[in-house]
Amino acid sequence: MQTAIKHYPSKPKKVYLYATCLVDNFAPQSGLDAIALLEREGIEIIYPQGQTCCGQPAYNSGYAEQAQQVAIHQIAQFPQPWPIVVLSGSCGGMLRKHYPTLLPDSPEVAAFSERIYEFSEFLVHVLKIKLEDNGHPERVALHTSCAGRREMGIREPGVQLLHQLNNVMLVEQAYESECCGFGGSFSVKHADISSAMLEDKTRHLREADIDLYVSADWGCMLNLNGAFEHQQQTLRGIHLASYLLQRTQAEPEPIDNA
Amino acid sequence: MNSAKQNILARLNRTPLSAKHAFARTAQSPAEPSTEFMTEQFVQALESNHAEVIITVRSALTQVLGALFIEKKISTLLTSERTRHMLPTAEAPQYSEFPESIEIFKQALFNKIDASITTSQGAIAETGSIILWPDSVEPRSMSLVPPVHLVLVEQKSLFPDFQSAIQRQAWSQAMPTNAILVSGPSKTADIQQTLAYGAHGPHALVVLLLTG
Amino acid sequence: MHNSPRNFKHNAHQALQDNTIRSNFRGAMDFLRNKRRAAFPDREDFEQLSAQGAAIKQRCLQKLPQLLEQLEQQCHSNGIQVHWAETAQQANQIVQQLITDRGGRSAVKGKSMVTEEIGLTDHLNQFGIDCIESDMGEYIVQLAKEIPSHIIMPAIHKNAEQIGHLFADKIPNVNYTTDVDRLINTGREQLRQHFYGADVGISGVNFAIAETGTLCLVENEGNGRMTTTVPNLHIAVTGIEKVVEFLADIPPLLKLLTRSATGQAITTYVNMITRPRQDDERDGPKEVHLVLLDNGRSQAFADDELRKTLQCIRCGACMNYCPVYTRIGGHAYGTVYPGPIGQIFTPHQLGLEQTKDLPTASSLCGACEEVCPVKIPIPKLLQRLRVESNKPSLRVKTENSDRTEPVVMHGEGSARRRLEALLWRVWAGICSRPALYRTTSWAVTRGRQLIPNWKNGWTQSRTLPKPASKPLHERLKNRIHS
Repeated sequence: MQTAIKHYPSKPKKVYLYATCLVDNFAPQSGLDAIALLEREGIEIIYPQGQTCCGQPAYNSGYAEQAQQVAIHQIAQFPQPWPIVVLSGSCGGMLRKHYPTLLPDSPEVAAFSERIYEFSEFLVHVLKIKLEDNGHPERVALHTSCAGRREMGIREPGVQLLHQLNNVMLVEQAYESECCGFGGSFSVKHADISSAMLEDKTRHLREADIDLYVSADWGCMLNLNGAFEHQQQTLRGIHLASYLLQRTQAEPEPIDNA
Repeated sequence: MNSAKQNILARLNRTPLSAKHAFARTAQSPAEPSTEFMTEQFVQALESNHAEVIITVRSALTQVLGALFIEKKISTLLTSERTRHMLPTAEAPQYSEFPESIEIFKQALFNKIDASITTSQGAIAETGSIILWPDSVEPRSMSLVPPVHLVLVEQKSLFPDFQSAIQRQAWSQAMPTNAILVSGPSKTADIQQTLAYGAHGPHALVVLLLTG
Repeated sequence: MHNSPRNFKHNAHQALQDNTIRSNFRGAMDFLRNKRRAAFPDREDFEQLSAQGAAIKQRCLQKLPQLLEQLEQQCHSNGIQVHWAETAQQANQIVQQLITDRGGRSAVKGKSMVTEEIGLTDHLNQFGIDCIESDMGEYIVQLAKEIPSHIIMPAIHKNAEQIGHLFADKIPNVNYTTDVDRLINTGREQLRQHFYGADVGISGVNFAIAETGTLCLVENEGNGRMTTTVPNLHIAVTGIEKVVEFLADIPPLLKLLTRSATGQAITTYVNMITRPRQDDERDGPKEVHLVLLDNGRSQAFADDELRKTLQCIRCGACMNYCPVYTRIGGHAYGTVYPGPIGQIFTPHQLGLEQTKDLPTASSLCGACEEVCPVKIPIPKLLQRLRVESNKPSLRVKTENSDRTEPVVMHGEGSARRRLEALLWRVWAGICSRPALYRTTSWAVTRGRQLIPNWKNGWTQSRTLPKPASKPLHERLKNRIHS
């Protein structure tokens, strides 16, 4: 749950990028687009090569010890006091909310967790970014991951960013706040239930009559895009970073989602 | 089963409990709202819960009740020494009073009585609730078994909320055998979320709010 | 449907195929969510009130042993007799003995989840005591020989057509109808006969107040009042966690309970029972008994984190908002308490071995925690139960016996799979060694064309995600940092 009110610093010169293991291995373009967008705003991006996974898969599966091991390693990759921008609300929630309970005796964990900013939150609350839309008129839905919504409070920043795009009509899908059914190991251990949730979510997105949907979480998007592909539907989602960059470039270029 | 008690308490006492959760006792009431505000709130809440509210002065009560008996087609009314003197005498329903115990009255209570009339201990504006403290004069089943319940509420006995009623009437010093809050007629939504009134208790609650 | 959490996956699979169940639950959950939303229009107000509710329950749990003794003392001086039961079996025996000793043959029961938990009706039937459910929903469920599918609305899985057919089939001289008023009136007439004739009324308790020795019952129908007013004997059964310290604790908890459960500012009746019928009184039970039940609660109590499970005031909001419950309905869980609260509560009653599929049956989306009126961190507790399920079993010997006792809870370690544990160790090794991580990443991305399209749970409704041709860290390798 989102408890304490987050205090946002003024615009920094330098930030760390924590891309997440999903962006690293499945959607590197989202990482490149996020870097391009942040650099355009005059921020220097440091990408520690030693970063891996945040440990959430083990943590959520009930393997706290293994999650701890991975968490200690992550913290060590970000030694300087710079903000850490995370390309996922869900991993951001792990780093900000769950690391302190996972490592209660670690002296540096609190300072580390305080430096965590999810990407859209960083754009809105720290950079106070102003976007100029150069794209065609489009109907778009926003899918916020559950952890992003409830642990990081990033639905509002997401909406704010999309509202800045003049030609984008933000459409709210039915049951917007309901889970897409991913939930990590849940989607494997309880595949039937997960599939039922996913089928409802993809139907609600299709029924919203949108051109595409946008999300700040590749976990949900691998789930949703995989389902659309399976259903032989053309609807797809792209990462918020890619979408914002694409819409605000002088000449919009097609985005490679691979 | 004394050993069960000892075992349960032993298990609970085995756990060391930190004192860090020493919370203050909860007690707070906002500024006192006006009688007009409370009345409006009270009536609105009751009406939205399907109760009828009739606002009247005491001197007109007998007349109001006479009309009500006709409108509700009440031919047998359960009353008590507290309310008997307020009731009309002409063209009146048949009045009965609760005998010394329910055991000798159950048959009539369940089958012969159309309505009951009781007084109240007070009322709660916020939720539109009537406070009943049933006693030897107005037993508990009076407000429960007959299909229609008429209840007298003094406007001056309105409290802003439940907490203030408990505090100002000092309930915890002397709890009655049974205290009841009634906020409407009996109802249920157990079949396909469809509201139906008169599930087991009265299907009509008529509140006579006495002003002045 | 099989009434055991061991069959959870099978039950869930069946329920998902049943379009009637799917649409009955979706409709009902939408209804209840809208009602609750309207009752808490302001998020800030809810946060404030629920923080107060959580604080009250935490304070009362901190003092639980003292409060239970105080409650017993106060009840005793009020003339209510208190009994203690460690297990369901003990509680059933106490209730049955009380009835049998007085020559009772027929009981009428108000809505109570705790008597479902102990299986009281079946137990009484075995001893020749009839036990009729008097809440409309419970009555419907009993008539259909089912169990409740929701803790607040027991018959929520049925629509009016199904109930119309049930009444026409099971009750003499009743014709089929879908008119809800007529159906309810049929129930009223049937049940009034039972209130009239029952030897004993059995109820649960929403809040037991230690300060005054008062039992507080919350309801809309009036069946609870009937049950606790008309028969000569009233037996209330409750879990030990329902005790609160002060009468003044009731208003905020009551407000949270009714708004969270059904979106009502208050229920039709709030019934506070402090004494049996007094000499000068003309009705009410001549005897009132209170049975205090442990049944696994003291196990949850012993752990600082798991103790939060006991803050629950049984409003059902967690199930109303749960995307899993909404899809599979209450029966699939095979437990008395379904949905998120059942998933964190039932393991303490039945042990983790019986319930090992419950902690995992959640995407940890957090919708339950968001609406919980007493701020139970349900996802955190589910995650904690996963840890308990998966940990290596380390039983310890107790001081005065050779019997070994679990460290935290019964059935701990029972879901541990060696292969799964090994895989997580390997995974942690990879994720904490960058060189190894990069090698694995290289192999996965370069070998992406070789990954077979396994048929598994994931691929029943999605295509397998394909790794990128080259991971991000490789693409950024030559970046120059200051």
